[in-house]
Amino acid sequence: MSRKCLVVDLDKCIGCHACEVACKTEHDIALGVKWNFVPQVGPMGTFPNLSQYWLPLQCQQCENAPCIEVCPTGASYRSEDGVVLIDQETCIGCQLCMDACPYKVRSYDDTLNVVQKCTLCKELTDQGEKPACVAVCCGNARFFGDLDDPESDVSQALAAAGEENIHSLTDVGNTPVTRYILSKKIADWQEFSTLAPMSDSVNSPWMPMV
Amino acid sequence: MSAKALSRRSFVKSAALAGAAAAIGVELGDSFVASDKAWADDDVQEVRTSCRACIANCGVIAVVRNGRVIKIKGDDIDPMSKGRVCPKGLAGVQALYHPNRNKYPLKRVGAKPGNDWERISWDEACQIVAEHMVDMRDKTGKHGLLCSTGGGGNPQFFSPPRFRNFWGGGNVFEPGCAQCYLPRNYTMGKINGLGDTSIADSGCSELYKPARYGNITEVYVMWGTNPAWHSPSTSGRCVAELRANGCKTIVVDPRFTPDASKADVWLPLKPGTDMAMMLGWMHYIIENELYAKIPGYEDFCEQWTNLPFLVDPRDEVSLPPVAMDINADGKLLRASEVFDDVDASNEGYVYFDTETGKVTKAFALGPDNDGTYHPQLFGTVDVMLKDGSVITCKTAFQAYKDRCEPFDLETTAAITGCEAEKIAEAIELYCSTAHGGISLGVATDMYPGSAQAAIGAAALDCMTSHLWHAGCPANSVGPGRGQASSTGLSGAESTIFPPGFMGPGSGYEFQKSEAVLERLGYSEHKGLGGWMHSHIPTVLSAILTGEPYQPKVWIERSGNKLAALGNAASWIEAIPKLDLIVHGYMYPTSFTAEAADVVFPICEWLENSFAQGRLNVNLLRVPVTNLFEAADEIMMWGKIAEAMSDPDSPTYDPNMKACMDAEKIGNPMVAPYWKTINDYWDYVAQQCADPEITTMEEARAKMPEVWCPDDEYWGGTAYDGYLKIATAGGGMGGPGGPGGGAAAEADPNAPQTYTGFSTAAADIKDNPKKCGPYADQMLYIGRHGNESFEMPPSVIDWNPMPYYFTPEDETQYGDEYPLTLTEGRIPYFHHGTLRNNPYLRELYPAAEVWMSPETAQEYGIADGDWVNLKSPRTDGLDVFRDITTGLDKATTIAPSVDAPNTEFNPGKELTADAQAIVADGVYGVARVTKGIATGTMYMERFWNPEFLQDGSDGRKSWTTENMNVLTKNTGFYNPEFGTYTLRGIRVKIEKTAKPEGIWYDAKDFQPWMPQASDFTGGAYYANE
Repeated sequence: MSRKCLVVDLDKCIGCHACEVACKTEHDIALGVKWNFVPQVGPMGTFPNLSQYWLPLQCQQCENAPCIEVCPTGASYRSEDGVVLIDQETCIGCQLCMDACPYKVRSYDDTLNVVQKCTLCKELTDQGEKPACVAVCCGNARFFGDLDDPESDVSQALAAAGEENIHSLTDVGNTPVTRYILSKKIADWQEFSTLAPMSDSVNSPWMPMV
Repeated sequence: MSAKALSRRSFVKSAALAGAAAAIGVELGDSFVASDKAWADDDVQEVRTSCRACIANCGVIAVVRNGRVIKIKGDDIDPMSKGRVCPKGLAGVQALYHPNRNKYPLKRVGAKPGNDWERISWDEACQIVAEHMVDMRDKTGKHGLLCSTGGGGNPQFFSPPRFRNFWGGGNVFEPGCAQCYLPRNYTMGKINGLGDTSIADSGCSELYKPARYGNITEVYVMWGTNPAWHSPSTSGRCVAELRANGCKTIVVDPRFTPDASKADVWLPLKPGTDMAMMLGWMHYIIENELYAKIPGYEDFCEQWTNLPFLVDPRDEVSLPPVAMDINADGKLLRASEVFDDVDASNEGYVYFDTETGKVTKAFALGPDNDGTYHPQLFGTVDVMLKDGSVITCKTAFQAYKDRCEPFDLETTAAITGCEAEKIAEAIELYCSTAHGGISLGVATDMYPGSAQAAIGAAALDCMTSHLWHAGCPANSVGPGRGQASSTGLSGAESTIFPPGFMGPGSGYEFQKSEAVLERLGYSEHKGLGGWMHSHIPTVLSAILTGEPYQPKVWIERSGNKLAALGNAASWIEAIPKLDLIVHGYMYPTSFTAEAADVVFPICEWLENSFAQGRLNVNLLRVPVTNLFEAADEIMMWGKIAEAMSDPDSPTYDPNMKACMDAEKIGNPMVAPYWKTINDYWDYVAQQCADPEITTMEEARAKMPEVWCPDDEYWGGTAYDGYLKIATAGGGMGGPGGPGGGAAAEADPNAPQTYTGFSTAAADIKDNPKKCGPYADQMLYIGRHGNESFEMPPSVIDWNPMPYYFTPEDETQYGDEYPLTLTEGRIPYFHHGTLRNNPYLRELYPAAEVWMSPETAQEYGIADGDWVNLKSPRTDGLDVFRDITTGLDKATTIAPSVDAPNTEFNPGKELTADAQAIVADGVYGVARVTKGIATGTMYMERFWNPEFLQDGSDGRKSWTTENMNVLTKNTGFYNPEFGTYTLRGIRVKIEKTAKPEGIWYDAKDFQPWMPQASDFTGGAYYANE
């Protein structure tokens, strides 16, 4: 089994949202459905001594994926090479998996009555290409590969980053595989479970809730 | 890639949908072209091209399936974008197949504003324009023509001045220009002798140097520029790489931008106070003698700038009305005033030599005189003139010291709203190395400090010896323009130039000097001549008053003028004053509904062609498909000209015949118009700078290509290029670029001089080759112009140093309007573009209004609330007034600063009724963030194409969320460019409800999802 995932270097992410648009155009995703989105976290601190980062969110490829466990039809599954996927033919749109996902990175397409999410662009990566979001990334901040392969882009990015700068979203027993790089020179990592948008308006920044 | 790798649905569905697609928005008759081909197999091709969703031209690949573009990918060959693509570029497919594309030429059949149209042919449309132009010419003269364009990725910025120059009279404007890039583009090179440092426009090639070549930028100041968001894939990517390679960065910006969030120092200055900050930096640099402490370049300021030159105390410059209390130091003293052996033929500047104790004529340094130049930098010198009189002259550096004397750290902090310690930290970091410099962004070009800030930023890089040293953004690298590399190829670009722009033609006089002189506002604002433009407020006043003459036919080729022009509502009353208004664009905008009589359908970038060098690689934008009857914009201008080119026709004009004829034009840099689009494409192909490519077919097969190998391009860059030996002393030639080898070839018989910097005024014949922080050349141009003929002096002199003035809105309306508003870039849109793009509007559905938590609390506003903003323009307090009935008709210049009905003394209000249209103010969504100072706000420019859908009130498309109904086109225009005030205006705010009719939720944008069409050839495809 491999651990394929994305690694995102938040020191380098410039919040341009190209990854979001690339994802939508790559998969012709319906309006209102998001497989990948990039909230701004912050700014935090006291003006003008502020810090801020962007937190690209998509399926974290959990080792113990609760979405698979709750799926009544087996539509949510792990592929032979270890990637969590949703079979669009089998999905009945019950959305139990969306409730189960700790990060809310699954999205319901009401025109097709199916739940969708990041596929790690399997159709591209199977042919040796990079996922669309990684290919376009303007900050050279996104990496794709197998964490169990020390030669992969993700392993090399993490090795270069230093252990103290590597983070993951809050683990509630699901063991997310995706890793984020953020060093203190840019910002302090905020625990995902403490973050919430300031309002329900589009683009509202996420802030740590005390 | 195999076809099976692609998983699509909307494009498969689209063929079936196409036949049923209703006309949306502007009535367009029938719609898309459905496929009738029975595709046996998926045919997938990858077309290498170049994006034009903004001005950056990133290399991209269009994936084409069965003739339809389905995807945009990055092209790794582009050394600037390195295969990355931004949201605007990725939106290209939805833009191309937008259901509301302008598909055919249209003629208005209903009232204005309105959306009742009739489909006509290209020939009919061109004939309508031709008849109006010839009628205008016969009745009131050629100067009634008005042409305009704008940003938004226009592929040929020079098309409007080109057409106007061929025609022989009239005016050209662009809402950007004096408010966008011209001030930096025109000014900075005249100060630093190299060029402007706009990373968004010029490229700043030095910043892209791969780290393996060493000597990368060590400190980079982003001043009013937002690379991460104006061009994420090119400049944003570049700066991210610089940071990753250890470059220190300073960001001067009211907003906590992405680059600010990663900077070593962020200075959140109050909008409109950039010049105060610059003068504060200069004060600190002079007070602490940092100019003489730059590691390795301690004597640069003394040896290589004009700061030791003496100022003529008898010349008191006329001061701008907003800054009457500054020192009136004027032109540099001319050597012919001092020395008997100097006259106009060998005119020069003078300095005081501390070794010889003598006033001396400044000279160009060279290996044979190195070490003999010991100028005094500060203080005053008594100078005996030829006539025996004695005058006391400051050095130029002393004049600077006097100018920035009030701007100590505390004062600078108080004016700019920044902390004194942070300002000092930024300056110390900036001066810690010569390897770096300042990129000045668009911010300062958007208010009347445009020329002053451009002088200031360039002067700072002069004083601190950053110029032409490794890492300076003003440097250009690689072989110079037109110089071939070892491959035999050279850098490509297919810009088409106006006659008169690139040297004189051969005989045929398209345009007389009188026609140049009567360009509206040009004589007063001579910097506009840099792009052959006119002064926008003077044009508006002339339309409204008919003085000094009446513009009658307006040909507009860009997006939404009502979203882009300052005080946008003031233009509404101008519309009925014109006999004919033409709009050429890809889709309808507010301008179409409000103003257009005739609409030309223009190509999207995926249908266009353009050759563009990107560092050492040449890219070619190729027509990937062509839809409906849309045509490249060049065909609109050319076909209008062609409609007046037949001597037997009643719409004949000799100039319009001549502009179709290369021999008549007589200048290889100025191409005649093309009769078919295929002819034009072949022309573009020939600009790929590859002798083997003569046709578009050949170009498609061969482009893109590397024209200069990496090692030759980067490794051959000559730093300290001002120390290279030039062919001859004196002369006015440009400095050549670093790495430009030709200028370095020594002529053994010539005086041994270094290349130096050429920034001297045109009357200086014995060029001392210094960079020119003291802007004597600018002052000279303001008094004489820069045309082949002498122009009358501007009423207000061009000041040789930057000065600060409090923004007029603050002094005039600050009490009632307590908040200062700025604008800026976001990554989703370029200027007014793409507000009708579903994926982008899903991400950014409405104009955001940033405010601090303290500001929000004061007004009872929470993040996500809708807010309403008003300014003195929406409230009838600041109404556009008559500035043209007092002008001299021949020169369009005010007789004096006291003359009534001129910009210095405006007459009656002209647009009170129009501005009343926006009395309700405009709306946006509150974004409460610590990333902006309390009292400062930012609002994104916006407009709402959803109000152009059938049954909607089209006027609301530009009155609802349009920041530019708040901005100011009145009051002080700077002398150089006539720049008006788009940033640093004052507003008031209150919480409100969401305005009705706005699309905000993701599914609202469903009507704009793409509906693909097959290739039709478009207009003027040769095989039609």
